[in-house]
Amino acid sequence: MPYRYLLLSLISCLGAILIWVGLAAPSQAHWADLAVAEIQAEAIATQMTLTFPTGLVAFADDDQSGQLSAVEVQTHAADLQKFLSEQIQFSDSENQRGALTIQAVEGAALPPTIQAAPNSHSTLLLTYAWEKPVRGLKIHYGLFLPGVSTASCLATILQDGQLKTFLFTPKQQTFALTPGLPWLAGGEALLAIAAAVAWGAVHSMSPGHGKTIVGAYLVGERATPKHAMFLALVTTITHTIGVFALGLVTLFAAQYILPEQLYPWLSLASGALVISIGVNLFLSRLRRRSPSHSHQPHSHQPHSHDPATHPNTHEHLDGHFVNSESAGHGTTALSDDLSSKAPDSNAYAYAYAQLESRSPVTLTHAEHDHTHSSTHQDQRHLSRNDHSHDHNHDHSHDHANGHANGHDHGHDHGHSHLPPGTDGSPVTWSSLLALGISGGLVPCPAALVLLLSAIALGKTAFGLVLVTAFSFGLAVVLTGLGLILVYAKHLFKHIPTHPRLLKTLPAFSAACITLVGIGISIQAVLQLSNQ
Amino acid sequence: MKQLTALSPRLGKRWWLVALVGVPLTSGLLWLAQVDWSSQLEELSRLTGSRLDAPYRYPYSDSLSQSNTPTARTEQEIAHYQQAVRQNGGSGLDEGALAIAYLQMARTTGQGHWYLLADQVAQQSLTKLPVNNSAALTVLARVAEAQHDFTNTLKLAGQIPDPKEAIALRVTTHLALGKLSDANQAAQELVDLTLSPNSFMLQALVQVAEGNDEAALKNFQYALTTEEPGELSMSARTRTLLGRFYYERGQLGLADDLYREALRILPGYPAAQMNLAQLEIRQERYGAAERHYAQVTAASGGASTVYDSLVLRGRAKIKALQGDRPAAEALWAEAEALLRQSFTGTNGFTFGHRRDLARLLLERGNPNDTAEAVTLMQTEVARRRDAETLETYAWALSTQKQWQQAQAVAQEAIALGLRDATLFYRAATIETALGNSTQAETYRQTAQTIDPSFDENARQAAGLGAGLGS
Repeated sequence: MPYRYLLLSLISCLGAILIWVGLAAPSQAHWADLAVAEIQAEAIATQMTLTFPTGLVAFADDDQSGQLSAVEVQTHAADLQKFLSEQIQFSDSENQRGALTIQAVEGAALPPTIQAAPNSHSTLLLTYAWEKPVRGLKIHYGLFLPGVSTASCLATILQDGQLKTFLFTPKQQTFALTPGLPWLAGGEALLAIAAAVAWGAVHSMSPGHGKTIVGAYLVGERATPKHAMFLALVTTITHTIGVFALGLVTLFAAQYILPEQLYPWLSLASGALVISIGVNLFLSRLRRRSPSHSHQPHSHQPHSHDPATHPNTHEHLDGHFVNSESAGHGTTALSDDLSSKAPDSNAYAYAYAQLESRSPVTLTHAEHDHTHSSTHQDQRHLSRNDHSHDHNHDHSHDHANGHANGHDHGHDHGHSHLPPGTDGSPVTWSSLLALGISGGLVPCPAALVLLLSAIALGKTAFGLVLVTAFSFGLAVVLTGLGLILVYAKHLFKHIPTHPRLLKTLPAFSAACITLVGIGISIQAVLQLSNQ
Repeated sequence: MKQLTALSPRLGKRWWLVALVGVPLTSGLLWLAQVDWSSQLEELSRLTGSRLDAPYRYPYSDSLSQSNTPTARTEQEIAHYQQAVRQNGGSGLDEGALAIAYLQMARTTGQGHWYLLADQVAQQSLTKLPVNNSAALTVLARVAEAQHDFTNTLKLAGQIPDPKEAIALRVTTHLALGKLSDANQAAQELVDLTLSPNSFMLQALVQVAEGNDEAALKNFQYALTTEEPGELSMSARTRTLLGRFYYERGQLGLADDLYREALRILPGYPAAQMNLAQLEIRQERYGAAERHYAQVTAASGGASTVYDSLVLRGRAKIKALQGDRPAAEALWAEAEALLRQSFTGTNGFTFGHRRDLARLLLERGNPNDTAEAVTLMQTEVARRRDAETLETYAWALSTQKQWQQAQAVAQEAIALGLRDATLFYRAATIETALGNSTQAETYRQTAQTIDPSFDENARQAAGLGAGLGS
């Protein structure tokens, strides 16, 4: 059995390596194969000033001077037009080619005292015209020396005041200008959007972003794919709005404070916050280990689970943990804490602390079903250990792992840290909305950088598109992870655990968080000192 | 799903587990293979600030915009002047300014296409404005200089109305030709005319060539002290050249810091990358050197640059030092083809250096190549007799056992004044072959005095840097 998995893994790795090797770097080009073009796109005509090796049109170089003169161009106009129209084509969005006219562009007459080196390049002015205004422009450039793979033509393309450069090669002969977004190449916009989606997806795997919330919710019995998709949609919209809002605030603040002065302070604040989170976590680990805080194991006497006799909440252990990304402890509304919470690491730290401490959560007794139905094992319990609900069973309350925040989980603890639905209460769209908003409320710095960079480049609209794509990628991963949890939740029972490792990990993660915060703060201080 | 289950019931049940583990693992491996960790760590250390003190540290860090690269700034200028040419019908002045912008791109990126554009537009400018057109003539002269057409460079410089540009061209051309007295005179004229960073830098380079290290260092510092915000290319170039100065005197740490400071000012600046690669080769950090070469290649985006052959030579040297002779031979062959094509005859754009081809043939160490190396250098020294060219010629003559001639050439190079440990080591080798052990020892001690850390590694890395001509 292990060999099959090993073989599959090796095949996957080999495939990845083959893909990597296949992405070969471009080869070197030679000077003699160079061509350049200045392209200026207008409404009904596009002009191309093309400088290219004269050898490509040797049939027109009557005096074999290495340069085409105005007379030679005029003499061979028809042949040149036919030849160049086959090699270079400009077409609009309806695939209509522009009508080509050619003019000679002669070089300067340098003083006779300067014996310039013979030039091997000629310059022509190519004009492509259409009868009606062009929407979208596609350029096909195939004027290369036959069999010379390293030939290339660098084109500068000016449209609506925006300049774009593109290198035509034998392997890359087509370039497209998107209507309305003239500075975008045919596939470039789609590639940028795809990259933003991928970036959002990858970024969502970093700590935070509501994964724990989504996971805990979707593990619940009442979770459906429709709920998950709604949750993802709300997260996307909320996150996008959050980025826009913060972007606007930053731009506004930048009018009064130079961005270079603002960013280090933001970084310092962020770093300090992360340090405080890490230290807080670390101290909480220490408090948990202190003898005064340990809870002696105790057991319940056999008791009835009749709601009438147990009006209060009780606790379940070992695997019932708080799935909350709330920074604090003791609130019912997740969004209350999230509205004031710090960056992602805070939420992650708290949720992780809850997970590792396996703090008992409270369930209202009315919703807690102690029947022996076959569905019970799937009910909102992320429990690693099966437990029965025989009325004579014991609830052992081993609190050896302590609590995240050092408080007591009494039997009269009336609040729940569970997302909506996990405690058995009916799931409503409003609760899902609140959950999604809480998950996407705090914008990712990465998305903010994306937006601000686009604005700085004068491409605000495309920046908004990219941020939306980023948020979409983020939401897709959240949904995917959630759905995986839905189908895989029963496997958690089989995952082996190492108690000692699990005891050490929380402190280690707290230390790592603190170090990250120190690093961020140091960098910010250095930037401030350099100002 | 059913098929998988049929093939292996146990596997079918766990296929998704394999995918869950395998996909991230494979993706992670693929990502790790693609991500240049060392460069990213270097980038991170670069972002934490400069390790240099003033005036070596760039004082205008605030002007280093993170979102707007220097080439983007030049592209904006190009867009502006292209529009002006179209709207104004082309007065000649707009074309001249456009040509200057193209030249700026060429010198920043090293890409040959931009030189071609600059030349073509400069000619158009001269067609429309044949008189008092400093911009166009300067561009034509600079393009000629890049092609090592020094004769035409000086002729064109003589036509430039603007004295600053004309004198600056005279300085660099005379330096390249090895005419140090003319270069010195021109450099002094330029400093008298304008106390600009460029004039101080050029005077420093002349003093380095003359062996006047103290005065050169002082002028480099003047150049840095008088630099202005926004002139990123100038600031990066000065630090790169100063870094070379320290490299050739064995102060590798300071050279490293200066190259990296240049990259902090102008990210991806090819000359700084090339010199860093040379430094890494000298310190046997071949992986780091490969990364710098890869960055130079990647930055060009497939376009040919003036550094192509030097990158290939450097990579070949790395392979040779690592003992991978076949890979080294392949890279040398590729560089050789590139260099041969680039200066076939005198037609068209030629950026190839005979000297570079000769050095390649000598580095490869094939006995069949030495005769051609001598022939190439004989042609080259007929055009220019600067110290580096003479040292290469002496090397070529040594491989042919023409010791007497090699001795004369080496002595001529030493007489110019350049303090170059490689040159003195070459001279020591020649004197040893001629049986002049005392003179050989003197030369060796001089080499050690100039560069106390000069060793076999330094000799292997010699000739792989990018200097003034780059």
